[in-house]
Amino acid sequence: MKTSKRLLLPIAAAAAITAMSPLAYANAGTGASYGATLNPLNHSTGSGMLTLTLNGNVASVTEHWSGLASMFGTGPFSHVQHIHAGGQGMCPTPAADANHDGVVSTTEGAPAYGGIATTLSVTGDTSPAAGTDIKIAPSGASTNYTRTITLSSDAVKAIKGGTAVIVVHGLDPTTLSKKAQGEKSDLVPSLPLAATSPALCGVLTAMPGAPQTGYGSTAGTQDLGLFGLGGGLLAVGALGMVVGRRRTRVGIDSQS
Amino acid sequence: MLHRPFTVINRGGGRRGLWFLAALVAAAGGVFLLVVAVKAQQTAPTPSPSAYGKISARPTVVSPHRPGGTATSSLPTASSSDPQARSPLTLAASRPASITIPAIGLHSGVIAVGKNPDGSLAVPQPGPDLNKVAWYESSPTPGQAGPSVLEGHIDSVYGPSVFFRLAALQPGDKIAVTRTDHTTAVFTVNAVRAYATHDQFPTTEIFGSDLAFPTLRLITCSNFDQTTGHYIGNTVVFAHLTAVRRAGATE
Repeated sequence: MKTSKRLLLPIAAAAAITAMSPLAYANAGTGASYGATLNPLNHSTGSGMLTLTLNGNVASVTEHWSGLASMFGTGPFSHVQHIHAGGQGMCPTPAADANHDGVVSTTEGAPAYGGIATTLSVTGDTSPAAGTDIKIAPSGASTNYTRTITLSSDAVKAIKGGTAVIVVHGLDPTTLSKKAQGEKSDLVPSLPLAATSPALCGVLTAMPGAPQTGYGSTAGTQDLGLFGLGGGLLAVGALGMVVGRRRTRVGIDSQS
Repeated sequence: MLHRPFTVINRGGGRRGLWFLAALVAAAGGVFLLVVAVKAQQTAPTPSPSAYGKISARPTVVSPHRPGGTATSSLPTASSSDPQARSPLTLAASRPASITIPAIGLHSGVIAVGKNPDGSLAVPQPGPDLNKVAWYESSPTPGQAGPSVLEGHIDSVYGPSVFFRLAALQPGDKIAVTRTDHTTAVFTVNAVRAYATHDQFPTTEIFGSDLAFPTLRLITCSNFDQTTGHYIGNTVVFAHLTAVRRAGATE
């Protein structure tokens, strides 16, 4: 048995070390692809997702959202949308509603997501100056948006730093409180508050690299300890039988 | 060989008999343990070629003049001629609570994970959640438009983990995710893919495609590298939403 124990211990130890190796993230992808899941703000009903691939300061943007207000008066509802930067890199909570009218206005949400860094317009100007230009904003209840945009250095910095936030604006006025329905927009006083208030929001985050979801205990040959113990016992038993038979032979010889 | 020992016992007296019996028992025990060890070997399945499938769950566009009104879409979408139309099944955001995959006998709670400092997807850590499925908290929730990402370990230090048999799934198999709002989003598998190394891991396809449709990606590890002692590949199951069960609707 001593022999088998001596054999077994190193085998068991080796097996344990192999199995307990810490996780390693050998090929962690930081990558240049980013995604933002757009979730509703201010009781809007929509949702969506935006992806952005960054090559230097050129961004390829693909976006889908749906479920937003479709009509503004008699025309399609324009939803201005931006990459915000310079805030906490977060979407505001209802607690940001400083004037308690039930709506987190664009201004009230600014500490969370910052100011406009890029306007995600369908054509033309993409600078902050085009931020409230409803003529070049996507319109209607849903959109599939694709555009390649040259970004400002502020926008690139925020995206790489994980503090860029996508905000889509424009609420259905009928979903607002009576008080809020009567208010003017904090951005464009000629428009009602609903027209420019945030409806969808999502933090732009780098897409993760491949996960390391395993320890290897079921890879290759398992239960090396058991194999060692079994093999050891078999060896000792076989040895015992051989030795025993030899002793017997010796006994027979001495008797005759 | 076999009858000789008995003659030995008969002739040789008690001590020699005992010695031999002990050796025989040891050898038999050894054989028994070897058999147990061989039987205990567990090997995770690998995706079958027939499960390769198609990654995009985008419904097949129906021609404007559909003959006989036969729509050939993988989703019961209202109108495929409108590319902006969303699946009528699309759900609002609600975090996943549990997952059931009958085809591989899986039922698990779902936790939320983010990213590691190095940018890779974080994984369930040793402790009570190690063998649970994890949802990537920056991806859409299951049932929302876009790719919702779930992952699970293939094994732990003790043996198979929650996604051990993930690669055995086949297109057509069902995955039910119950959310905290008590609705259950039922997905149907459309592709099962193996990526030999993490470099081949199609990040944008997994996290950033099919934005307009409620889809699901299940990820685990594969391809153990004996020299580094780590899994270097991934298995990914792609599925799309095909049914929604609301709490109490069937009761």
